[in-house]
Amino acid sequence: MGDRNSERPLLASARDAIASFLLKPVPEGVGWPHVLGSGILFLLVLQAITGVLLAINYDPTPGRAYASVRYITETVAFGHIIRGLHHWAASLLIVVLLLHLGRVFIYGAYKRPRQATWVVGVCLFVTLLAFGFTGYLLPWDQKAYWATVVGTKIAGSVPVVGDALLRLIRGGDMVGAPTLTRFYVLHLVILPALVVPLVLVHLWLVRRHGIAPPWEEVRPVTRWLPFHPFQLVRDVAFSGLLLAILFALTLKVGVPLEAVADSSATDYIPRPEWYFLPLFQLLKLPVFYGRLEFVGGVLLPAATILLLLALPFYDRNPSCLPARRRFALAAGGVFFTAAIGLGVQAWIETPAPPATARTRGEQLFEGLRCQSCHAGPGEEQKSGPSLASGPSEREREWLAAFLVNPAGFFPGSEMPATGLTGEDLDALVNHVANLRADYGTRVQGFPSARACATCHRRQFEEWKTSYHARSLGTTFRAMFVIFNYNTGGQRLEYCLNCHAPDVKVKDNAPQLSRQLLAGESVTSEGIGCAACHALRDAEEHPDPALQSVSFDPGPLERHLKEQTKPLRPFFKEARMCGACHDYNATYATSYATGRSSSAAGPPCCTVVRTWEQTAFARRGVTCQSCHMKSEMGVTTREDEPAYHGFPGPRNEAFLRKGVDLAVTGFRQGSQVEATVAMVNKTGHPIPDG
Amino acid sequence: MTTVISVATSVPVLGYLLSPLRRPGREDAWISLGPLSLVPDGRPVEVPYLTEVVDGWIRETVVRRAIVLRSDSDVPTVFSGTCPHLNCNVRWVDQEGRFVCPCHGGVFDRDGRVVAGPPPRGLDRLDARVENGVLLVREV
Ligand code: FES
Repeated sequence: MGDRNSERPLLASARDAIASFLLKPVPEGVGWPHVLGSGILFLLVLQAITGVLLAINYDPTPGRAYASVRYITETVAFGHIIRGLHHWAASLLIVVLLLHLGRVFIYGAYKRPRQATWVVGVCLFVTLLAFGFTGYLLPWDQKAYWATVVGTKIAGSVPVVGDALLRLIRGGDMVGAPTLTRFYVLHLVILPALVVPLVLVHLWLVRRHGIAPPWEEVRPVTRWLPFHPFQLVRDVAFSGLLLAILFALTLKVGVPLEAVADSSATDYIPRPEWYFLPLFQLLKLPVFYGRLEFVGGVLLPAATILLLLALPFYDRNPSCLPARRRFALAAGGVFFTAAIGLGVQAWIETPAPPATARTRGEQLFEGLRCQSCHAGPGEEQKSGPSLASGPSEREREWLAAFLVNPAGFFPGSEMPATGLTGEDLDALVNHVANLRADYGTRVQGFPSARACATCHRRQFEEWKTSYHARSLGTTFRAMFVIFNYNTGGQRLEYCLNCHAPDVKVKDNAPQLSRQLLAGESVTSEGIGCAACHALRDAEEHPDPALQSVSFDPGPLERHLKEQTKPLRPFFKEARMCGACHDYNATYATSYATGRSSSAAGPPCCTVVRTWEQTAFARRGVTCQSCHMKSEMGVTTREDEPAYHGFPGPRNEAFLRKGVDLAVTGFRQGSQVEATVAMVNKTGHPIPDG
Repeated sequence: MTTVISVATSVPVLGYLLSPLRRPGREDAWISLGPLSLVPDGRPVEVPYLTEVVDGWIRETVVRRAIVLRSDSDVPTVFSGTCPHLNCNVRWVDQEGRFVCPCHGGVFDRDGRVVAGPPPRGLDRLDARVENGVLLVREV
């Protein structure tokens, strides 16, 4: 029990403090321009709250960081709102801060006696920029990664100590796990520890010297009004406005998250957040090429901050009136315009991403939103004419003219003119023509998945998410290079039989190999529909150990012509999957690693053979029963259409259905001993397949 | 006493913070880029390869890219695909016949020399040799 008498004075003094805070008189003339400071305070508090909430679900390791940010955005209730507020408030903070700084500068409010308030304010500004820089690495997406690679490398340009500095900032020689944890600690611990005292001191100084009335010299203060309600009402209204802007941005624009960081991406155009664009552009100025990079990247920004910090000390002009501070205002104006100019130039000069994966025609088609009115192959009729059946070769010229001036052909047509000329116009015409050509030519023999999508849209969309559709990805390419080295380039088709079955039919394995080795875009769609639907019964293979996958497109062709069912009985059996998922992998691994087959360990892909020995096989539970049953592989309804996303071990939810894991461990000196118990509930070893 | 206390605390703290300055010893492994005969002639080509990197406490195999340019000599020139300016990935633009960096507009000719932009030097080269028709490279 506390002593009631001693509590009274405490409460009373707290009440007094609040009252004096609220009723502190502010000079008349203080008004809307002065709400910026409290707006910053509001945004800082919002950042602290949303930041803590984000940290609850954030995992600061590469790979997982991105997954956790996606989890926050897509799965956690209100996660996208919390992340959206945090993301946009970071930018809005800089906007309001610049306005605040500009106001103080124009009003001359940094002059005696408020020099210290100004200095602390500039320190806050720099700290908030550091918050921005460390914060946007955390999602570990492409933007985050590349901005950090470039941003940190600038430190490397400092003479003599640059290299050491770079290693200290990155925590090694590349941007990786130690960089992420460093930035995480800076963002969550060190910078907040700096900001809080800076804010408190700034506020205390503002209270102490009072809010500067605008241009006292010509408008002497005659009336003082209490802070509450006169100014407080405006402050609260402004905070409300800021919050409304944040919500609008979050809900209308969304929260950006690019693809996961990829250090080998060549088609990504790295650009920093908008507020670092002037700095970015500075490095493009020819004066800072080569050795002088350090001047543009480090010295000039540092000098600017110092100039800003010291402003009240060298600007000795006692007057606050703009008319008597022409030089200062002109200098500030020039500086500000230059910074904006650089930023805008950087923005304008940002090149469009190279058209590697998608053709220019495809990009234009999407960019002009043709698909909003026109259906492509496999899509339902939309408001405009369908493009699945036109134009023919002869109609190309007509189409080009039409795209330039639709109203000239059909007066009153809703179709807008594309405004395209030259190569762009050709590219779009080609793309539209291809939509049909794709459909017409590729259906014969070994149809492309896009052709099948004409009728089987759902399966096509499912397939696109599967690893079958990504069978020629970066990792495969790298393995392919090694395999070729170890086989002397003699067995190119070995990998491609399963990874790109269409090349077997089209007999262009050498061409595809070259493309893979040269890192070019490939003329194969990986494991498409026909890879399974035109497969010859695996039982017919003469040598199961060195199995070659072979095709019989007959039934599929009949299906395309006569809409017969292409399903063959063995499509529901495990041996169908065994064509690729059960082979003597010792062959592949021994070649890939250059070791002899005995040293390469046991074959990994014997999944069908092992499964045959289990009760699953006896009960008729096949590969398809789990890997083609809805997204999670759980439903067992007989009539449910087969799911073509083929979930496997890389699908966490799916994996969790198949295994129970228990890990116990203890530390012994520098070693950790762990026991992992795994209960495999599937009909085959894990990992396998 | 205060000296003892401050030394005893600051030495480990500073040492801990400065530890990234110590470079891990690296084994100079030769990495295969596959049979040389498969590398097209006449223009630089990007060849991906796998290499093991130590990223702090994570040891992982990553995909890197080398740019191979076959020339008259037996051993081709192999460039690193990383721009020597601020480390963005350069790209070979076939139509223009040169490498372009997407960041600050660095441009390199087909031999890796700087043609325009801020890069302080040409594209870095990897050690290369050919053994039994197979192209091997080593990061330097
Ligand atoms: S990183 Fe290549 S030009 Fe700057």
